[in-house]
Amino acid sequence: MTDVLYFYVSLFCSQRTLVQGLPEMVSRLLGTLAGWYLVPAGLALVLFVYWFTGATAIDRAANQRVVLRGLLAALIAWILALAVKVAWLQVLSGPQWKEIVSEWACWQGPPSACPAAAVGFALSTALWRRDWRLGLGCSLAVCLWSVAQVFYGVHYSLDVVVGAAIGVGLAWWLGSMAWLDHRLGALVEVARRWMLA
Amino acid sequence: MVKLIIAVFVYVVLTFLAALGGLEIAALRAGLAGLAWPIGPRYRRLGYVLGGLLIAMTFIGGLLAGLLIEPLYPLLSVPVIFLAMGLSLVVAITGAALRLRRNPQCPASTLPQGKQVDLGPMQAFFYQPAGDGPAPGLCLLPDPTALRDDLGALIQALVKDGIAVLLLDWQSLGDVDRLTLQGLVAVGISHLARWPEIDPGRVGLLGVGVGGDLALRSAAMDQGVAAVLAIEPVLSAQRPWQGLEALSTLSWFEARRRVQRWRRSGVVKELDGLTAIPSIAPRLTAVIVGCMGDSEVMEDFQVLRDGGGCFLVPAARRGAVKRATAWFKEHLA
Repeated sequence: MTDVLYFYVSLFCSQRTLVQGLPEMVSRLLGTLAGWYLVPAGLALVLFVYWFTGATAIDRAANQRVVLRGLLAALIAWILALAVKVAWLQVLSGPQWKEIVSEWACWQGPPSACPAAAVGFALSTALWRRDWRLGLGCSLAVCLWSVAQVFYGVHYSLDVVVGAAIGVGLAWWLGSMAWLDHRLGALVEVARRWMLA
Repeated sequence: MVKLIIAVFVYVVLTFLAALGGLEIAALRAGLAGLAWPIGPRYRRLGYVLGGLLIAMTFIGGLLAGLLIEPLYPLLSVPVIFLAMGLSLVVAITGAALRLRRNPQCPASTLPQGKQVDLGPMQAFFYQPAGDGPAPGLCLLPDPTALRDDLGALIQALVKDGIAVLLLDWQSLGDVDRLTLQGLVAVGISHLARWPEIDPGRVGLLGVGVGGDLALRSAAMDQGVAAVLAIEPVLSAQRPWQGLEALSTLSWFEARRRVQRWRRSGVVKELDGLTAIPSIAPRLTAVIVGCMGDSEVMEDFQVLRDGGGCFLVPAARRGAVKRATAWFKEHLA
């Protein structure tokens, strides 16, 4: 268990030390990129515009179902990422772990699934299933966001991998559920009554 | 705390501008005049440039804000983004409504001067084409739930093609039920058939919107009607809801008002135009529908499709006017 945890926290640890000597401005820029505004607002904007896009009403309704599916996947992925964090906190709550990890140079807190990667990849995957070019663009933005979080010291690199696996897996799984289309279609129909879909 | 409030305000404003830009581009691309703000479809390119600029400005602003002010917490960023996007939608809808009020999408056509006719409790206007000899005649039924519909272009085109038109003026009546409406249509048809310059064997019915349903139901009851055409009738109270497409020509508020009137009107349910169609055969029947036409329920009669537009403002569509005129010219003139 100790070996696994050590591997988890020390993978790509040396990469993080590379950026420690960067000028403050660059470091703050990295912080901005790693933060919860720039990339999330960009992703939200893509979803917002995608909601109103479509050559025909049928196309538009399909896009709207994708947007709802993406939001649902992102919400569940966020909850799962938090659950992973709670689980790690439970596992590492004993005093013996504090002694062990205190000697590790790369230790920066208990591991967790990166919520940014989980949420971002959930949205990107949902879009990818409908329009791979758009999904690819969003995935690249999420990669940038996640890498910035790793280099900024918010998460371990394997946190991002776990978060991405949760996001992609969940969105793909939800995307293959045909019955969900009917439920989401009902929501779109409600929005149509209000002339917003 | 103050720093956090300032940060939230800045991020809301930035996201609001980006969302407004994105909405402008999406609305222009989809041709939704009721959602495009601040620039309407008339200056499409300018709208794209403005939308792009707003988005670019926001991201540069977002980068600068990240350097200068407090970052957003993960749980705070979600309400900030949703709030800003909701606000942008409200502003775009309201702004577009004000713009459309000042510059309507379909400019009003001038209604030709008609001869006023009294049909019992109701008034009507008669429009006679130029030329001698008995002409075909049409009883034109406006939508009783949309009294301000602009029928000028339709009347002008029909009269120009040699078809006399008797426009029933529902505005001269109070709140009436389905049976009264049908009775008044019957009076209009018989009046038209008795008019000296009209050929009684070539009298038709033309209805717009709910007026189309009324035309179909009246034609089923009255054997004196040689041909009936309905432009975007409701056909069934079960018709699917019109969504964003309604905003192609109308503001959100106007579209909501029209749909609500249709939905609340008991006349639509009682007329049930779809079930009247089999009773009209073998006389000529046709329906003009736009892109949202419900094709699977329209099998027993002629469906004339026109390229696009909105079923809430059928008579304002140039395509619908052309189709209607050509159809009557072919079958009545």
